[in-house]
Amino acid sequence: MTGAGLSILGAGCVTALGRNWETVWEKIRAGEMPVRESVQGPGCPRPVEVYRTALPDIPSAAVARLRRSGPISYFACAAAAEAVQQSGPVPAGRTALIFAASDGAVTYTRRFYEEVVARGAGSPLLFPETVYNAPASHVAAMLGLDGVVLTLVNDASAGMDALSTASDLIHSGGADRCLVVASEELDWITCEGYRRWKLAGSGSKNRAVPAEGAVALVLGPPSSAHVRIARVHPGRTLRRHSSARQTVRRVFHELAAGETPDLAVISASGKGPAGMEESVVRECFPGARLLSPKQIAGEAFAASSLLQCLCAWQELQHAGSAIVPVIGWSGQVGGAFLTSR
Amino acid sequence: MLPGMEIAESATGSAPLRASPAITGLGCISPLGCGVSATREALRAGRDGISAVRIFPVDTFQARTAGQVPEEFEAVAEGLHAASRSWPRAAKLVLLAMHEALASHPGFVPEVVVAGTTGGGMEFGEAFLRGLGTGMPGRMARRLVRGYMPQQPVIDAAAVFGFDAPVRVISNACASGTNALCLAAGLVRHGQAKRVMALGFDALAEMVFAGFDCLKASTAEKCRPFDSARTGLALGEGAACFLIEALEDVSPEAVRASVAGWGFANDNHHLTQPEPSGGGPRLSMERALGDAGWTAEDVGYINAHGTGTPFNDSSEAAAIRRVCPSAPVSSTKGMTGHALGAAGAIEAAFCILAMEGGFLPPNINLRETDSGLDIVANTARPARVNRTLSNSFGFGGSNATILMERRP
Repeated sequence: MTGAGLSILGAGCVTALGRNWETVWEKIRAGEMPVRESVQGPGCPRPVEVYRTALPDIPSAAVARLRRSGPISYFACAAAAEAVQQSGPVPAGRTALIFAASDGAVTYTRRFYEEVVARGAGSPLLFPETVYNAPASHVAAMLGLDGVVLTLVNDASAGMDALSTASDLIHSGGADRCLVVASEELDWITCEGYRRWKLAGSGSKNRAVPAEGAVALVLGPPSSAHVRIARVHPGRTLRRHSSARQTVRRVFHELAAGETPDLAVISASGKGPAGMEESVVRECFPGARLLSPKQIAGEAFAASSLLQCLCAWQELQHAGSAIVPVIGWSGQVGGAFLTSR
Repeated sequence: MLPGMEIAESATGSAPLRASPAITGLGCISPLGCGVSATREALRAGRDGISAVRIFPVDTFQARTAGQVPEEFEAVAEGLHAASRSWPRAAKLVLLAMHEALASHPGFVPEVVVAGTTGGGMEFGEAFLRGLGTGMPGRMARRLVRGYMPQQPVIDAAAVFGFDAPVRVISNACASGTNALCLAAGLVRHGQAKRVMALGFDALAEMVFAGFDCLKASTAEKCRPFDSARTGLALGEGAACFLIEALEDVSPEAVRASVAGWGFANDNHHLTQPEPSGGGPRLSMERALGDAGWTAEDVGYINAHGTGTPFNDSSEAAAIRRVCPSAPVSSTKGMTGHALGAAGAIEAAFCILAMEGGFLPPNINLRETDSGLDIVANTARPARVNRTLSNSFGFGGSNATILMERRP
């Protein structure tokens, strides 16, 4: 458990709900859902409903780097720029950039491989942008960061992995600040994959609505911030169905460390292991109010788990504490615990 | 500024603990062999592990060769766990490396697994795309989608050995393996975990092969790191697994090496090309030396990133000339090919084998060099090595350096 605490010094957000955190938060509070669109690729028998995000404006410093990039990098740069604008300048050599994603630059990856299949070779303009750390590279270049730059990949828990890594770095003296960015983009190939996996798709209210966008946080040591991320759980892997509930319960109790949260910002979206999350939260913390931002903003994996944290942080501006559990589709369970003074 | 946001005081973090991360278990599979023993002998012999690609068609590409792990590896994996026959190639590599490491240290249960990879189960993603519109059964589709995810090979292999530690996956291009090993060592160094497993893995995949080919980074002839007439890299594959604990917590005979320090640096020059003067690599090496408290003279061997591309090798050579001008250097990628996310982990394993075996691994296929470095040319050099430095650099400007020390 990383328990020395972190403060959120700046936040940025780009989703289908809006192009900045203030707008996104207003719509989440109002329960205003984005407009659904359908995507369907060649060879796919049915469409999948999704929440698309329009490409955001990006700072001029990023324009040249992003001229050949896909949406994931645009979202990441826009969210990072908003977070840094709020936090104030980040010291280049002592600020770590931790980028998190689940699907990565899937549009370019799919397009590149389609070219390979069709004509035996792919475009050199596409391939460099297919690597998981391309968005991190663009964000680092935009901000001139030359220290630790890491890309973490996982299911939705990647966002928590990033918070955990940031906490490790800050409290070991490896960085003074961490810019944590999580970004996802949609493509019909992943939508079809999740539909085939019965995790997304039309026709069932139990299935998630895939979404895209980015969330960014500038993090520092706790200092005098009103709200802090008190603990981040390094996580567990759910191995067996029979013991999954017990493992989830254990992680939640470790995360709360004897405190009773007033709020639980849950990750449940559709089926899979996340389906048990709500009932375990109700069992462990019966007095906690539940907030489920993914029911409004859709499932954007790593970005969604940071969005949960931001929602908790915003809700705690007056008082209280919040648990932010995350259970990902490949069975990684973790979370964060936030408190206000 | 939003309500509640406050600027932190000048950040110092809590006072770091300083345990010494010790490597107490090791597993390795590479084109040089399945397992540490076979790898050590091939490394010492300077065996060329590059061969014609056999696992997907390459007739439309300029490059036709790669470093591939021995064919029998799949049978060995199935012998360990029959269900692995339906896993992607990468997961089988992870299974073998993890098995060897854990077999060398019975009872080790990691609290965290930190893995580096660039592609995960990439061939399953390829198969999913090819299968669309062909009546692919739903069960097959689900298996492909699940197996494609980069974390899944590690999760599946870990389940075979019965542990439920969280899996943290670093995907920092070709520096991933070194990043993973350093971050894992950092958890032990700072007391955030007592037992950590680190991994680097990647399997050869058609999409990635096509990618390096289209960038003209791959060579159609021999991969010749640091040769004046080098023409490019050969891709490779493999996995290496490390068990890490605090030196203070284990008996001296259990220790194979210790991780003395590391450095990361990001150069913001270009997405795929290194900064020509070697600024990023230099910073990475300097930070590593500073972290360990070493001087340049302490380094007894450098395992270079040395891909064999004109740009990488000249940039890296410039950095080494600045930071460690007199240390003997070799790139082992002429033997193994470039295993991308696995490369840093495999090469860290090579450093341990060099220290244990009393030799410097050779830089094969070298005819003439203008690097200005003391290259260990073509044949292994007998030497007692106490301290090593290994570099890994990747797309996006990722640079990572790890320093390891012979066991006390």
